[in-house]
Amino acid sequence: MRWVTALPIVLLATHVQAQEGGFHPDQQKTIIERSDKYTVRLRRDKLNLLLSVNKKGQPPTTLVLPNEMVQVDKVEFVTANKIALLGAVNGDVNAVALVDLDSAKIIDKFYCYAPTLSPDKQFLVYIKFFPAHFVQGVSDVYLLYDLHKSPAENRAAGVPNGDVQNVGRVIYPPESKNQSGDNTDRPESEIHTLESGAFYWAPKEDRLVFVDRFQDRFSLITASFSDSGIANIKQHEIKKTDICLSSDTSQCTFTVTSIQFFNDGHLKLKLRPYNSRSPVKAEVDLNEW
Amino acid sequence: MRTNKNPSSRLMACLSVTSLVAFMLNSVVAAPSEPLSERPSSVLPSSGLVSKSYRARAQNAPSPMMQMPMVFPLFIQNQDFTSAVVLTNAASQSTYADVTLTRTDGREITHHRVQFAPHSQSTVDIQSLLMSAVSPTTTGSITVTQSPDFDGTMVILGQLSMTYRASEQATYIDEEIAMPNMEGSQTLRAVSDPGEGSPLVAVTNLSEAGQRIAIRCLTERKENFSKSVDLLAGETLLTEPCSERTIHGAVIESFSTRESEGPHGPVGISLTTDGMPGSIAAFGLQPHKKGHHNFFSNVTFTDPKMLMSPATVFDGVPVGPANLLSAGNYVPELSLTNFSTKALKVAVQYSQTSGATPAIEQLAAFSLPAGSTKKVTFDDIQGDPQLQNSFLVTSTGAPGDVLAKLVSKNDSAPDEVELLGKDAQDMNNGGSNPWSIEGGSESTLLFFNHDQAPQIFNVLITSEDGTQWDKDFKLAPMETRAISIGDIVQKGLKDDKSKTLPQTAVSGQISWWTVGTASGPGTGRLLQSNRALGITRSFACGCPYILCGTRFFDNIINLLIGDTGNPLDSVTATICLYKTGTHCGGSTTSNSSSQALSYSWSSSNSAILQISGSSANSSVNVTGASTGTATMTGQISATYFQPSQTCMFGSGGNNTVFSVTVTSADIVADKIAVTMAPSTLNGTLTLTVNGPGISFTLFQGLEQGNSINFSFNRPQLPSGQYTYVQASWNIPGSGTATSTANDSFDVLGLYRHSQYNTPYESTCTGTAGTAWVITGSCNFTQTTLKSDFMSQLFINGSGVSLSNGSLHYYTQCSNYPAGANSQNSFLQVSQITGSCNTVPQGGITVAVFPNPPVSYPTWECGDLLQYVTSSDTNQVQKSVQDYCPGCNTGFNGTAGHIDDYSSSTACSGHNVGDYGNFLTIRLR
Repeated sequence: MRWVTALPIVLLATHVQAQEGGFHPDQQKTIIERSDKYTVRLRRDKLNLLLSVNKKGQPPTTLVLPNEMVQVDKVEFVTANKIALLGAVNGDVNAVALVDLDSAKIIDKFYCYAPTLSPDKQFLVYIKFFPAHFVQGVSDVYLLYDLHKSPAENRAAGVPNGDVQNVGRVIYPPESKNQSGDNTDRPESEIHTLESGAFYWAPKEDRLVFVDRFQDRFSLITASFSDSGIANIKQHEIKKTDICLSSDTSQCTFTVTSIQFFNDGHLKLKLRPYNSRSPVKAEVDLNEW
Repeated sequence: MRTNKNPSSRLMACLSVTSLVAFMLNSVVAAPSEPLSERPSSVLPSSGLVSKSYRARAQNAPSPMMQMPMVFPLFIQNQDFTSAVVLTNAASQSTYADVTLTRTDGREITHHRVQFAPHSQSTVDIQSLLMSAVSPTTTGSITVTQSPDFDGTMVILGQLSMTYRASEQATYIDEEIAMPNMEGSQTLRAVSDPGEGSPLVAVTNLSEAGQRIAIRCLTERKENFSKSVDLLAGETLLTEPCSERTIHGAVIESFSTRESEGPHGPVGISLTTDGMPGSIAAFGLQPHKKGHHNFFSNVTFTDPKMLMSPATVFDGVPVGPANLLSAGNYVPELSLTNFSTKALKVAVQYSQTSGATPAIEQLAAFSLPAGSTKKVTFDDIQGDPQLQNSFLVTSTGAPGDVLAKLVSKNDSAPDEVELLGKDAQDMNNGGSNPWSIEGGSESTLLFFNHDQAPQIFNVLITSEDGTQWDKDFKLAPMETRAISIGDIVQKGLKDDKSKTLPQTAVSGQISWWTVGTASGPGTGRLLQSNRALGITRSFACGCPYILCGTRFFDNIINLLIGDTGNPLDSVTATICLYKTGTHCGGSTTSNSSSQALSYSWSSSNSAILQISGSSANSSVNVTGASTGTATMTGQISATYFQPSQTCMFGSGGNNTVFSVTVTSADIVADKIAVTMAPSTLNGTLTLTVNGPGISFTLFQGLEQGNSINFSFNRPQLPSGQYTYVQASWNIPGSGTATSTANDSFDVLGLYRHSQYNTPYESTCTGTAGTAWVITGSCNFTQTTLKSDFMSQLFINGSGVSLSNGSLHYYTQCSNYPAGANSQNSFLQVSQITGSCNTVPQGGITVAVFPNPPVSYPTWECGDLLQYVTSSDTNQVQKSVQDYCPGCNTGFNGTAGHIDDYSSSTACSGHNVGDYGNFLTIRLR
């Protein structure tokens, strides 16, 4: 990997991310989505969120969403007869619910952070859930949920389908087993942190990019997927000396505010320092990823 | 005690006078016999009384509107002699002078008007004038009358240069201009160096009445000679004062045959008229013969009443080899005459300056009998080859009792160099001389400070193109200084203002002056010489310079507070050629910043304008101590002794000290208070907020002095750390005042503020479910908790149960009982605290990412955050007390995510929606 300064002309796309507009459950909008066979309609009824499933030629069926899921931001058809509801349980924690439209039942539910759907809507990536507060030593575990597979296939052996936390296949860090309690109370030396604020899918590709921080090192993580799951994962270190403008990089910390994909293969990362006393470059280009 | 002489009326060359010459009147004064009277040996100490005394005399004097002529009593223009008048204009304005040639019988031959540029010289060739007048005349006198525009101030000075060509080598005679004055005496005296027989003296009758002249010749042998001659009105009479020969209506050729003999040693000559004082002028030639070589020295007459001291100064005397003059060894020879009736003691002091310190030597001390003449030769002294040698001859008599003449004889050449003695207390404290370096000539200023204190000589050299060069030269006591004009021009030497003369300059005019002390002013002369051609001409024409005014310059009108104007103000002195009878008045000759003058400065308000450093220079450094306007006054003074007066002039101007002050800067109050002062000034105010590597302009525009409050305009502030506010107020042409005020804050940007809470089981509605409470060291106690409470406790990390107190999410145990897991087993805690170990407070506590206790300097516990709305109003101020591990996500298009603690006890996130997006400023 090397740093480049030249910029290609063509800017393609960015990512698709849930939770647009913040957390305002009392302002829940009605969401209506249609497919060839189904029309689904999400609406609030007092404190409950109701989902109506209307199969052509059949009377509609109404589901009451789990009461902790107080806001739904997106309703996506992920297969011909399955939808994913991306929402939130509070201002920090997201919730995902999967509904089998044929049976009009919720077949899976879990909590997470920063859920992001792939462009082809087969994969959902997210950060493994941890309680929003009053926990220490939180380490981000980056997980993948294959929406073409069953809840059991998206859980490790021994994890019951009702488990709302230990859900999905581990993308990164590779040593994680996605076991109960493996992302809290970790020593500082074992903590991974998402430093790109979100996950970034390459347009029209099942390729994922995000930035992880571990032991004060920043890494660009790229992952590609196939129908069988995770195909490849690469890790490229982003050296602080290439980012930080002050000679003393010990107190230089930053977050990546966006990642842009270019058709020539390079990425542009926009940066912001956590600590304005240690300024960083506004953006960098990564030629290969 | 010295007599209170009127210094304005002395018979001196180049003297400034206003007195009328009432020569139209017949003299009725006493018969001509020289009053060998006892004269007071000194005059009153100079004081203001002298000026008063002068004014009284001036009132009695004839109208000053009539112009007194300057006279050269003798010119010779024939096959043996050529004559040329060299005139200088010492004024700073253009003028003219009329030159009139008169025959020995008093009839005018011709006249000619000479035009002068400021500070210039002009040469009038006598042969050309005679030829233009078709006159065969070879001998006569010359009068020079300057323009009446100067109201009596003498600005035209001159010298008649005669060249004797009848011998193997041309020799040169310098005749200084004579300016008789009726307030002088009836007597003229001169000393001639040893020659061949009697000198030939031309006596010009300046009145329109006949006069009888008593002539005395005092020799070495006490065989004194005397005679009387009658002088017709306007006549120039040629006579031999030491023999009987006198020829009325004669020309120089009449004396070509030697019919009479006279003494061969030095002689003193006295001419006493029965006419009005100042009604005669005289000049003589002393013939010499050395082998086959004939030449003449001059005999210059002095009115003894015009002398101020019994001391005579000879400066720039050739002693030994002299680089500027013909090769050979020069030996000084002093001729002295005691014209008084009693023996007087004479002392001769010699000062040689070869290095930095003059070497002073007492050469001789002897008694000179009454009515006698004596010659002393100094053939055993060493001299400086640059002519930095001077003599001071003093006597115990009254001024004019003993006169002296000094010549330096070259042992390798037939001629001699004549030195004109100057009265040690001469009123003429400066000179106006022509300079030329044409054709290989040298022009050298020769200054001598005969005082016991240092003296400053100010020199103003003007070239023919008008360029001026002005510099002070400080001479140590008894120092002689030779200053080469050629060096100044050709080496590009800089003056006190770093100016140089053009390298093409070859001639021009020099004005020089000193202030002088009670011992008298420094003396000086200009030597024009050409060693190769054997030319030596001395221009010693003196004139009185005086401080007559001042000009004030504001270098910096408006001064920054705290700054020092280097300099803030300056004054220059106006130097005049002194107009007799005035108090410090005359015609302007130059403007100067010479340190020969005394300067003092004062501030009308030192709280505003504070003098920094010396206040004794022509310019002053001033510090702006506080805002406002005050007056700086510069004063120039000089104390003169002939006439005694202190000239003092002051001038001043206003200076304004301006400032800008940021009296306060508060990001929370959104207020920056700026004061610009004084209100009379208008300038461009620039207001910036700054931090390491960042500066943002809040305001820029014209502002009159005033106090103004500005807003930070917080929604427009770029993200970054700011530490101070700076105001700069630029006053055009005067500089920029700057002020800063500290105010440290970090603009984090627009942040999303979500909310979190601690759910209470009491607000939950779910059915009871099996749960475990963990206490102590992983002791599990089965209990029941409402199912929705367990969900919220798991999601939020804490909650307050109905029966088991405060509970925390906990994963540190490995001994979960059957059916227990981290989603239904919770740690019992005494109270719920954030990562900063404080109990969260609704509306105050916020949780941030990364964890504040371990993320400094990104965060630290207790950081205050100011929330600002998009309309720039304050929303709220909160405190960082907790950790939000999920706040590295969920930005929702903002720059960051902070979770605000809510006091809600609700059992659902539905009740704790986002607080909102706000511009968030960390107050640190």
